[in-house]
Amino acid sequence: MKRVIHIVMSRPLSILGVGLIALVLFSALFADLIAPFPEHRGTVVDFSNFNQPPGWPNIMGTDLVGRDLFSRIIYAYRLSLILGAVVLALATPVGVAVGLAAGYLGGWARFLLMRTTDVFLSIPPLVLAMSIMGVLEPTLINGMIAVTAMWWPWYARLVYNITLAEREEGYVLAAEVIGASRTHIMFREILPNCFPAILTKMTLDLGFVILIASSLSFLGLGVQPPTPDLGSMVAEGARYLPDSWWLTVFPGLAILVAVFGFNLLGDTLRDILGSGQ
Amino acid sequence: MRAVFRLLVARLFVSLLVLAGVSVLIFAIARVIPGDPARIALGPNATHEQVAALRGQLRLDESIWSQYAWFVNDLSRGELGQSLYTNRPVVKDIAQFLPATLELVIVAGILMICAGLPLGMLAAKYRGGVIDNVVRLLSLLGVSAPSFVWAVILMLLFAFYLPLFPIAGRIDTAFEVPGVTGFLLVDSLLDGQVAAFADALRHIALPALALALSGIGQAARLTRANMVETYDRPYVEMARSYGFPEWRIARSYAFKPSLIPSLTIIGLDFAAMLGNAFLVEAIFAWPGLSRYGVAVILRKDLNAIVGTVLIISAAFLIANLIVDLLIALINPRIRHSRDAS
Amino acid sequence: MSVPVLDIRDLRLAFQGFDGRTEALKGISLSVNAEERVALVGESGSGKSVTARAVLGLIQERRDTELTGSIAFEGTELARLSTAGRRRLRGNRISMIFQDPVSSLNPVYRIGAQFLEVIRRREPRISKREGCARAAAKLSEVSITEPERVLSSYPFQLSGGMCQRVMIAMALINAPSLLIADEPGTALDVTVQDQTLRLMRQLVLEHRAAVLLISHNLGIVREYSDRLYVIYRGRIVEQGATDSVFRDPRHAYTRALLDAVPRITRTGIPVVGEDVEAFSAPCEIHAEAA
Repeated sequence: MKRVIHIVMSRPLSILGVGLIALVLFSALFADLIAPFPEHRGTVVDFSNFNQPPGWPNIMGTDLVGRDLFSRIIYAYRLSLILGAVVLALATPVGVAVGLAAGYLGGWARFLLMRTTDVFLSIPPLVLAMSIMGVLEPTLINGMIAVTAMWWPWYARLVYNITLAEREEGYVLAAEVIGASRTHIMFREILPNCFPAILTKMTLDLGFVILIASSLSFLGLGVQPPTPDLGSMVAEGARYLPDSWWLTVFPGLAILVAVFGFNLLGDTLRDILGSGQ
Repeated sequence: MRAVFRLLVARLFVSLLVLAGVSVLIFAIARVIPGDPARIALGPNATHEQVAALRGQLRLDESIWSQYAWFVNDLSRGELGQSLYTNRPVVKDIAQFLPATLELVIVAGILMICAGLPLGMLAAKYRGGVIDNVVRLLSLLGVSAPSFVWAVILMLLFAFYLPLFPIAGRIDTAFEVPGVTGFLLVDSLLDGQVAAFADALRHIALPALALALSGIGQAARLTRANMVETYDRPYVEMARSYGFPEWRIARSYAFKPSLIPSLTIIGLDFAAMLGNAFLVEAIFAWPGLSRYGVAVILRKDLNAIVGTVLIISAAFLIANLIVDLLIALINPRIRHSRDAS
Repeated sequence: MSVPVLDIRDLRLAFQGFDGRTEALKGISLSVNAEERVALVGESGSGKSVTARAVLGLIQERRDTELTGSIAFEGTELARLSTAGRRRLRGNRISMIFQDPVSSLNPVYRIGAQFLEVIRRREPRISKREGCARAAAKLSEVSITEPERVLSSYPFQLSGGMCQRVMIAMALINAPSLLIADEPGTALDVTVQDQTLRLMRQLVLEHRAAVLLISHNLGIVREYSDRLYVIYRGRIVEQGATDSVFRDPRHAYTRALLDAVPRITRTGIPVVGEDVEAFSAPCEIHAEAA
């Protein structure tokens, strides 16, 4: 613990990362209390106050139907975080199981599983998610499915590589010698050794899932209005550049802040857990 | 050199296998749509007969296996079917839009390598110092925003507030460049139009940079990490013990061997760019595959979706082949190995 | 005798780490005369490798270290030279052989190219052909039968023993007056190590170079050195002619070290005790024997 505090405190960037994430999490959790106009996350229209530049009381300005941008960004954070958490909660177990099985069992299991993984990895990530969204209706749930489908192969590959290295280690051999079952060896012996790398990757990925999800909704293939979403806010605002710059700049910076924070945190975590990957 | 050739043939074979897998995957995704694609494509006002005719034309009434067999049959003749959106062969559509996207991605890729590798090298050489921290911060910022956010920021800064670059398009309409390769930067030079080349370059600068920024950050971070690791190798100490100049050690002893693991990931970043091009093209009104891709996806234009994804995946596999070839050329272990596996 | 090749006086070295200052060397004095073979013996962490790197001037370039005392090479004080001046000595007048020959050669360049680079340290303008010819000649001196093939190979294509010979040839090609051998060949198997050490001894004699042999292996030290220094926790605890020290070890640590050598007649491998009080006793100096 002392080492953890030392590593975090000795790096200004780590402190910044922890601070940014705390800010994002806090605003997402207590959105109802922080947002000055909580009702603006929905279909409120206030034409008397539309397209206002940043000022008071709308510190980030208002959108084209007069909704407070700051309030909408805070609610968008809540949505992004839920989406990121769900995607990782779905993608990680799938990828880990595939990677473990392919790495430890070898043979046909490896061939089949890793070649399938390769197929998924050889479609550029965004394009795969786009085509899945293309055939499904653009809803939040479908968005999660699409991003999950493009995400699990990365965990499969990560765990596969670690498993390949670990299965040669003495402790695995020892377990085999005393006749432990394959499931026991995979999940009880090898899996715990993958945890530091998986945890680091999940922290980094939480940011990248938010990034990809916002990219999908930017293209109109994600969450639909009026639900506030950072990507679709940028897409909508981009039509009114440069005059209504706040419509794009603030949601864009909001994405940057969240992803940057998770990246800094992931980097710090990597140093603490000391995993190379 | 024969080992490199053997490796290339083996990788080509694997790539074709993977591409076959991609076709199955994409085909499966496209045909498992809930609802009737023909009905969706024609809209709610179409008559029963029209929908039935389209179903027949798309062979939707046959089994999924037979549909895939027809698809492969078409593919072997270089056909990807008819687009329901443009009513033209998908191959023609893609041939029209792909060069613009490829040109953008290639320029961004060059930017990524030319900026990312030297930055990472500098950071590793002066690790722990000011340069290292600045590079770390910048590269982390680079990877932390989607390319459409960078596109918006770059556009506001360098096209609106400082009107240095054009806002949209590939080239000024005043120029007439004959299409040979489809790459305006190449075609304009082939035709000897230096002014057109300069104009195309000005147009591509901002979109390419927006697309490259996260790749630059990624490449810099990776190069730094791998180089720092290589700096701890015994042969670097040996080089120091022989008093080789530091810059020489940085280049030949730390950078070159560390390039081998870096290149693989750079290939993956290239793949990400092929996808992210969609985002940047939308902001800069770049006449590439993006608008077409999004349009066909929104219209559930099956043939066009399958064709677009297949072509992009093929482009990615080719890029990876090139990366494999480069690695083989750098890594003597591969170049001189007896069995290429 | 004239000026010693290497003369170290009261060398102290401290690293600035996470947990504050660590003293690696607490006042080391040792000297190596021309054509003499001197060993520095100690367990890992005793400071012997750090001493070698200080002689090469590699420690001086790190910012987190504090180095005091004097290192004189052929009468020139290293601290008075510039960084570039110290670099000029390396590979020219002083060269070093490392523990693991295979990983000490650059994996992505041919042996020939690496040789050429070393030769150009001394003669920057030498042609590629002449450099290769000289390298090939030196390789035959270390009993490599096909020098041309070795020069056009990459390190991974050669055996460990072969790489060790290449390193020896490389270290001697510029005719240095001091050769530092840091645990030479420890990464190799014992017979190969023995062969290459014999080669090194023979070549060093021919080149009239002095040797500073750094090792934890008493067998090697006994075989390949004239004089030795025993180092323990950054201090020299015993010094003298090799024969004399082996015959009559006076310091408690030296005796413990000698006892720790596994002998066939005994069972099990004894371990050198941790920080026995007697190990901190002052240095035992054997009088120069005639």
